Amino acid sequence: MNALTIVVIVGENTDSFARAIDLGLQLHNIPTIFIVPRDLSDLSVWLHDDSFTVNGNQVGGIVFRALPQSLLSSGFNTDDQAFCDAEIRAMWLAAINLDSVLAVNQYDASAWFEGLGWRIWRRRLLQWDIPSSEFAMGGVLGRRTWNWYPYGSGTPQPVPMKRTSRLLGVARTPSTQVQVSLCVCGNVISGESSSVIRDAAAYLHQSGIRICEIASDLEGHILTVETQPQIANGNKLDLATKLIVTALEAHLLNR
Amino acid sequence: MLQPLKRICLIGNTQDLTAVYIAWLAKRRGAEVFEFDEEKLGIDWEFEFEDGRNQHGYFKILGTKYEFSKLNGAVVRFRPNPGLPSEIELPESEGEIFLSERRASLEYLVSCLPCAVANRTYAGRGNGSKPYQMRQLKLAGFRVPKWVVGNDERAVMEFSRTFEDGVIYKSCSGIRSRVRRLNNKVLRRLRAGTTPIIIQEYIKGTDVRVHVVGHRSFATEVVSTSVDYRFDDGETDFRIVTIPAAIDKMCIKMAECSHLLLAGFDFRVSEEGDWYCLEMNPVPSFLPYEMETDQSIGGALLEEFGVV
Repeated sequence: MNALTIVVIVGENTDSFARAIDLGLQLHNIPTIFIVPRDLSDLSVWLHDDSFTVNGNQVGGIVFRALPQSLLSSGFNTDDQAFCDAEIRAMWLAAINLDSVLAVNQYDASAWFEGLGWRIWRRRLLQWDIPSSEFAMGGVLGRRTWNWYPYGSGTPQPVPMKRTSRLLGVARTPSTQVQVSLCVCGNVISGESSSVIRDAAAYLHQSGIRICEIASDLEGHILTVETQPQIANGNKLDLATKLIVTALEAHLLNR
Repeated sequence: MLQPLKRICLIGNTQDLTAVYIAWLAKRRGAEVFEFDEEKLGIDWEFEFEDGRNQHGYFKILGTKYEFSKLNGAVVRFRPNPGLPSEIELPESEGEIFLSERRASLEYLVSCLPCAVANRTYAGRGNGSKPYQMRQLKLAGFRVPKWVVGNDERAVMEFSRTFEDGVIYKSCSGIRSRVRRLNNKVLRRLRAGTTPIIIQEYIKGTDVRVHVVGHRSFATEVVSTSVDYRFDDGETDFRIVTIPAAIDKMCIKMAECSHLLLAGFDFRVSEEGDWYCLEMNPVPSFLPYEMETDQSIGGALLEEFGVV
């Protein structure tokens, strides 16, 4: 392994998983740069062919724990802010998709620019014939007893008034989340581990999703997928960290 | 025998010039055209479908239902800054959430429609990151100019010195995407600290735009005195040109793999005859090329919808 190869972790200081990865890598003598998303524009970067350097260091791994639509570039004029964020967003998408970089997660352009929302993963799970909860879109029909899943948050809400539902074309489901499974590197490490969830985890892993939380309903169908789960301290955090650190270390050793 | 009535729709910005043109052409060919303007969702029209059940669903326009299965094609063009419904007043932050939710619901609708769509919004998203797309183009077999992304002035200058004909720079995202020769102004910005830019070898030659519609392609050579004929003032001449079969095949395949029914490829053809691919555009403005050369790009798109 090249001694100057680093892993960049992009995350908030309060993100326990990001912090745990940072510590775990350092304990394995892997140098890291931990940076909060809004400071990404402070980094000196160079991306060329399959190589990415940050502050002069070769990057072999990236753990990106921020929504692409977040504030990624503080300190610029208000008029330039949106543009600067877009530039940083565009560059980091390219970086996480280099063969030389192991990314957590390795989002493709479609997922990246659609904000990593639940609808992206739902669309893919449906394409892969993974049993998924029933959803209706549009808001024309009443169904006030159902749950509304806003595209932006993925957190269930009461279905809004009919007029609002129609203006927004809301997505509703009769299903209720009953369990959550944490999946790392294609394996379920906590929570329900039915064949449906294991299949979903495997497909997601094949498309670059190394960590995610899969919510399922009473029938065991997939309700939503969260690719930047918050993981509280404890056994789950320890195990998830260990698996990701191991994967990063293996990738760096094989470079 | 009477042909069944063909129906297409416009979704998003129904005043977009390309959309308006396609609608006009479709009506001339006897098709019925529905307009589903983003800003009128829930007011003039609405929709309902269950995405897990063969995408059966319907539109409702002023009380009349039209099933998705009756639609032959959809043309999608979105405004960069859509407005709130006129009867709604919201604080700015809530207004942004409203617009974002509404846009997401239309994007999901477009992704689920069973008819041919030009284009589904998830397709060709790589265009939002030029370095990402340049890599994809290279992997697809296209020749691309040498390029780097960086924000270090010294490294940028060192890279630029390796090219006899110099370099150009452009934005990574494609926003404010006017292509320019590297100059002192941008070097000063790099020195002061700025977001990374793409530096790319300048290829002397002519521009060719290749529009792909399904399995057909339409190539137009653009002879111009500008660095970027799309934005710069300068004399511009459009001519139909034949492209090498290998390039043609790659364009069609790349568009297909990207799930794009309509795509615009920009090439620079060097003085030695090498074809350098600069970009694949998922929302190409093909009207100027069609108007200047009589290539029936819009017509080809309608044929993909079965509107002949």
